[in-house]
Amino acid sequence: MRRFLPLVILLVAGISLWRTPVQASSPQAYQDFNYQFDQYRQKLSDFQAAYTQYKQFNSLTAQQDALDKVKALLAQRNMVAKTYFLFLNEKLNENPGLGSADTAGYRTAITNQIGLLDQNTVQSQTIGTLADAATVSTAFIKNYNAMQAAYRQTIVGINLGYLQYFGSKFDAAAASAQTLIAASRGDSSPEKQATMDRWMLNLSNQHSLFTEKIVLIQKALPGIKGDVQEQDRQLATIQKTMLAARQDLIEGASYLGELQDALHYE
Amino acid sequence: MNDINVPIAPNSPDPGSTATVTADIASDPVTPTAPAAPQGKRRLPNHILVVAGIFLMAILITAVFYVRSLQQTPIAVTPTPIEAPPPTPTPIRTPSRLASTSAFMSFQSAVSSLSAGLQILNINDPSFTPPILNTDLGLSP
Repeated sequence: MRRFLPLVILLVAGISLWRTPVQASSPQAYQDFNYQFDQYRQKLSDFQAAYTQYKQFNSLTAQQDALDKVKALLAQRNMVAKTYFLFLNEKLNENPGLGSADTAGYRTAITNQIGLLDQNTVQSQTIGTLADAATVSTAFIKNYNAMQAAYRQTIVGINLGYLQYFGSKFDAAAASAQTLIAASRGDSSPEKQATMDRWMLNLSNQHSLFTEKIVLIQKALPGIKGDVQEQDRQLATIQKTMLAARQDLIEGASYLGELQDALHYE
Repeated sequence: MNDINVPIAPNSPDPGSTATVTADIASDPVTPTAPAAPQGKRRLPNHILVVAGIFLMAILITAVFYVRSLQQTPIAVTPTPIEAPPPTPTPIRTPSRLASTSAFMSFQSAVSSLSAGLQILNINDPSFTPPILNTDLGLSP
């Protein structure tokens, strides 16, 4: 048996080193969320039918049926909310632009919300009467706006991460362009030098415009609160700013393309 | 009125005898009339037949000409040359000394990667729509 020990160790090491490439799991998480949402809609419809019947006939059987259905519904409602948080968590994991401190902040909010949802699910299993169900549902409703704000803040954070990632790529490319322009000073005519300097100035302006918008978004991010309608209004405003920031980068990238062309030929 | 002797039929009670029958025949001679021509076979007048014939011939001739015109190949239009100055040749652009350096190549790939990434970046991703859940279940606490 001892003779095979090195072989077993080698085998285990080989298996652990043979890593499959990391694949984006957010599409899978989003698929899971959609499935849970479909289940939720079905359970909501079942409960509404059972509760109407109970109200109509007021029988013990109908009451028990409504009770079973509401328990399933409350648990499923928590499940939908949780799977959407899990999807956002996957998106955070895939995000290349967020710093570890930012990611940790969003992840803490997600963990807290999932904790509250799990707690509510446990409570929903102990429901004995329809009045109990109302109490458990009220606990969920009390946290509903905070939960929706956590969703929206994380979404903004994810998009902000992508913008910052492309912003840093833009800065790096602009810095390379600056170095190449300096290196080409001896070879190019004064007119060409002047043209390239103007492109650099435009790049610098684009960078300032972009940074201004990023700061605006960062300031607006904690302000996402209130009821869902209010949150959606705030989110729409922030999204407009994010689109404008993306546009700044697109224009900046086109200026970099012009510079690249100027540097490529004599 | 005329009296005519008609032999009596053999199965009558008195065969061989004749009977006098008074027939009410008009004494005037009847003029024979020509038999009426059948209705379906009435002949058309000659001048209508002539006109119809000419009309059919005209249609036939037109059809023949039309078919021939379809079969004929279209006449090729000879293009008329238009006087125009010769186009300016594309200037030959000489790559710069920097174009072959690794620094420039890495800059080139950074620019194209940035442009491509920005095109893909979707701020309004439809998956970023949080679920709206039913908070009013109609239960009274």
